[in-house]
Amino acid sequence: MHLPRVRAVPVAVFLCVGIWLSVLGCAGERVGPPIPTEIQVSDIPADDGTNVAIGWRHFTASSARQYDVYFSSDPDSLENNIGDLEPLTRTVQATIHSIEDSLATNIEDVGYYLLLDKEGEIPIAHIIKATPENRDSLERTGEKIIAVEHDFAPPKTDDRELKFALGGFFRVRPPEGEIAPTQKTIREATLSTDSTGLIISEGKSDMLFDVGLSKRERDFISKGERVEPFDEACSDLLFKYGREILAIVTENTRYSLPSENLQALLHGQIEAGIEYSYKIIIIDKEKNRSESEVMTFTPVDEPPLPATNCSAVLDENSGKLLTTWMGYNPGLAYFRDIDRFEIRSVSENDTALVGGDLLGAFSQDFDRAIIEGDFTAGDEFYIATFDKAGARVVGEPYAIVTGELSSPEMVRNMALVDVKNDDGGALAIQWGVPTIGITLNITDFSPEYDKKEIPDGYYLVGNELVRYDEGDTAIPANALPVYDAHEWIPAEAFEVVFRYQMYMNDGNKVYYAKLRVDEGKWEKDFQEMGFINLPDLPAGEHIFEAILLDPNGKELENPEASIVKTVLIDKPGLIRDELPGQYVQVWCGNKEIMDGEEVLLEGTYNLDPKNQKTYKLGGTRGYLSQQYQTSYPDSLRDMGEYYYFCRVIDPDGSFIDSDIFGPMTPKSQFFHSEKTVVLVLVILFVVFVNFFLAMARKGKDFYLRPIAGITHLDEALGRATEMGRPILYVLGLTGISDIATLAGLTILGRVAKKAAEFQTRLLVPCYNPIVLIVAQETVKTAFMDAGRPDAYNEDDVFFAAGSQFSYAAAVAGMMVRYRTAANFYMGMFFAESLILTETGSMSGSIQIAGTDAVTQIPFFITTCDYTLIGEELYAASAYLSHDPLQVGTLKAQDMLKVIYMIVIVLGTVSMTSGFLWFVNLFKIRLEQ
Amino acid sequence: MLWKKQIPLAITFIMGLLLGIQYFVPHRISENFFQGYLDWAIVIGIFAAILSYISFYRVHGMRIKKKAPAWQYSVVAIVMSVTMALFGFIQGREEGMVFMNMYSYILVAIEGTMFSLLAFYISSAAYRAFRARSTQATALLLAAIIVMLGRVPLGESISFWHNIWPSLPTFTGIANWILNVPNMAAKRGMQLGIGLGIMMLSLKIILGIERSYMGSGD
Repeated sequence: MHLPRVRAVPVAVFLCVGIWLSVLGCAGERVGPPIPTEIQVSDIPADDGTNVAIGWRHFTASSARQYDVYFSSDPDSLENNIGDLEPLTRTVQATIHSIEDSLATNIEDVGYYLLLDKEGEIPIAHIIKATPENRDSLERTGEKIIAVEHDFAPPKTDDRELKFALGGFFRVRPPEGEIAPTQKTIREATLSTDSTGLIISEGKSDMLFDVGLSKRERDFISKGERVEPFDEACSDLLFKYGREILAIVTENTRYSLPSENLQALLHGQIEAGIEYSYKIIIIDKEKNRSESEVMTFTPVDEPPLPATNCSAVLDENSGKLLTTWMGYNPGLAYFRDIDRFEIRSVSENDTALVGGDLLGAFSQDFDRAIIEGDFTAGDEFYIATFDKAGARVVGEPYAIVTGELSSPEMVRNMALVDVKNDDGGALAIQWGVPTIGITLNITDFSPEYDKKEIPDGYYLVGNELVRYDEGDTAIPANALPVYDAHEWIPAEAFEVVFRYQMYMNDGNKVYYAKLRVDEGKWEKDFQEMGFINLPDLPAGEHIFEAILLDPNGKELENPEASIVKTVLIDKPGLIRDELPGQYVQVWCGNKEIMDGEEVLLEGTYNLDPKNQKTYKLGGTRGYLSQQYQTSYPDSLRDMGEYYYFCRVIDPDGSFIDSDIFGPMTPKSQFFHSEKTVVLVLVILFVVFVNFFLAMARKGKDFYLRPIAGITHLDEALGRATEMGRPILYVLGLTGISDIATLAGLTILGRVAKKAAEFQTRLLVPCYNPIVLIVAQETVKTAFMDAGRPDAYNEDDVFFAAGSQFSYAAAVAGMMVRYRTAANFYMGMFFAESLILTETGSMSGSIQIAGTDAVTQIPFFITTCDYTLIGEELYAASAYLSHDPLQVGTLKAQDMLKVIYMIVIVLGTVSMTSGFLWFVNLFKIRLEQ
Repeated sequence: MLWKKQIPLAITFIMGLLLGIQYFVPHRISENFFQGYLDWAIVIGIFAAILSYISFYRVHGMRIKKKAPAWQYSVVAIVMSVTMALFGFIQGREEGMVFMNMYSYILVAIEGTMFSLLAFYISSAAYRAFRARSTQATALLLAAIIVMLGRVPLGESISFWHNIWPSLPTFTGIANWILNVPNMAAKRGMQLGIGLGIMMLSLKIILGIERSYMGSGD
């Protein structure tokens, strides 16, 4: 069938118009994006003079998409050699344009005027409503507002000039007519009566009140439609009844209002005391550029901030003195320049705080210490902070106060371990014992309420019910008039989700959990967290039990591993365990000699492994997280000596330190122990393969179950030969690394050989470049093996397209044009499978498909004559070759299948019977 | 023969063995080796892409030269490919450039059109699949009807028996059971077989038993 030429003409015209429109879309006047305003440099306080922040204002409607900040100590390089400098780039996401029905509200008739206060770099907008008195003045000094926009409009909505202004306004449009009462919920409440009348008291479940509008809200609504400037005090009502104005449209101009402050941070790329020049280059999405003028800044090395919030608590019973302080501004932690904190006692007459006994020196992460010595209430201390350049500042002196301090216990089983099965990049601190926690989520899915009428004069003020006489001037503006109350009727049954969570570290074995309710049947679960659902649990007391099991199914003996809780279920809510309030800080330090120099990755530069006060804070973890893992970069793998210690901190701030762990060096592992089962199976597989290969070599004849798709392959080739039409062979959409493609190539080799023998044309359109090259070589060699190298045409194995549906279109077109007699689809397919096979089916080709894409198999079965399902695709080559060696491997595969089946049956039995040892053999943890 | 068979087979064996071992070895040497392999794959892919475009232009060029059926489409294919490449090289591929405009407003639209054909093809394929010609086809038809009803609100509302005997499942419940139990069992069985097949084929290729991808199975 020849496609009429005339059909190509509209296609060509369509594409030419497309190209023309695409080019047209990029044409037009090239104007650079607006230069940002309010550019300013902020020197980061209390740093070492290597940090500054450069900020500017960016308007949302601006076309700028990228700000490149160039800086240099040589001003000439900004003018002449800017290409040599590396900019600090700040990218801005384009505002998503949306056009809604109320894109622009026309308020021309309402008579609002825009006045601009032009004192600053960007004018400040004021919106004034015209009155007979001020109309003339507004006409002279302002611009009449035609419309306000509430959504981000595409920049080219009209030809008005785009300008920017500062200001926040809302277009308020209150609803018309009487507003129906709304419901307000008061949590766990009920109605009761006292001497003052009705009151809200504590109840079991939520109570609903039908309420009207407050006086404040009624006053807001009564003012009608208008434009109002943003006011924090009534922001809730502005958002409820109004919409934010994003742009103001006047006769000649659109003023865009929203803006944000952007910042580029120069961190560690500059030096204190040197004058730097900088400028900002602004780039829009069409790559048009604008440049700011060249400006300058000089970073300064400032002294650290003094320690604040200092306190010292003496527990007279234990004699322990705990002192705490805040050594830096948390917002500036990233930039802090602190060498150490020194705690000193205040000596007599030392008002300048320059002397005193040194009680301890701590590195920059410390914020608390227990001071040894003989102290009494009233003794005074002060904290001196030093930066790395030696600058010293002192905080306010503080006196000892007496109080009670808790005595936290050190966590159990703490250990420093080299993380298993890794590439030598991680160590971990582990602690704790296997622990289980439970949570009960109680829900009343069909709550019923008892309606109670509330007499006139009652108002909801916050969560309280208060009665006022009509017209009482004391009624608060926010008071809501109450009409009715709906009290929850206690349910007879609830839906309860009984959840459990295991807390353990990677050093623990794999545990299981079993749960039961009211001493009923135990239910086992095998994840770190899980739940059982109790859809209809009667109200009343119930016993919830959860126990951790070891890998052999025995209950763990430590008390934290089991929980028995008697809970009264009589109202909806969430009941959770009280988690330990302590947290664990992990402190670390390392050292390594590299190229003759000591390199410190974690820790302070004056790290002394024997002195905990010189360590660096690695991280903080919850008491139950039981693990803290650190990973090190490639450059330090298998190197360095690492030290750790842990600090357990009670909620009152009191703490206890562990001993120092280490030194330890993380080691790369040569075998991933969690993959042992996989290795055993692979070895077993290889043994079977070799056994059956040996059998095949001895001449053993194996039976092969016939597969229809393979036995009819020759028939399809013969049909194509008889009809004198080509064969089409599709290798799927994945690359050469996909085994399905390799399987497709193995079958292609055999199909090509037959095609060469039958002298039938074979077409192989390819999707992947590497597959193309291999397919060309495969077909070429097959033709040579068949003794028909002259019949091989390299152009019959070709690259069709590199995108999914373009490829589908190309191949479907070939089926129609060449009227292929037989189509083969062997490989990995996606959504294009049905387009290809349905076209082939309609064009009358015999079709054989083979894929391991489970989702596409139904489509192939429906539309193809024969389908190789899953593993049959991999077996096809062996079937076709009749080679005893290949057939022997199929037998090995069958044997492994038998083993799989036995393992599945045994696994099911052992899981059901609680004999978990067998199941654990196959449970692996690859993520560490 | 050495270059055509022995050396490729040796490379396949060595690389197959090394990558097989690499899977079990977390050591950084092993990780570096695997990363190197991935880098090599990218480099080879880039060179292969050049060859594939040569093939593309050659095939379409020959079609135009021979005035093959519908050769005009080949002209369109070559013109479009050259035009897009030129604009991509000259202007870049950022948003708003001609290249991206052509991609977004021509190619994506055309591919979307192709994709939409699936709706019609699924209908015709479903019609063919659901003809109840045998017991198996009838079972398939019934299962399909239940799953379809279980996926739409209508199925839930016509499950009248659920109101009389709440313990009986609705169409949604039956559909979920079909998908999660028999369907899942079949899928997993298939995936186990696929996994074994992949292992087997890989081993055959590594050991040189399977050579038909090199053009000769013998």
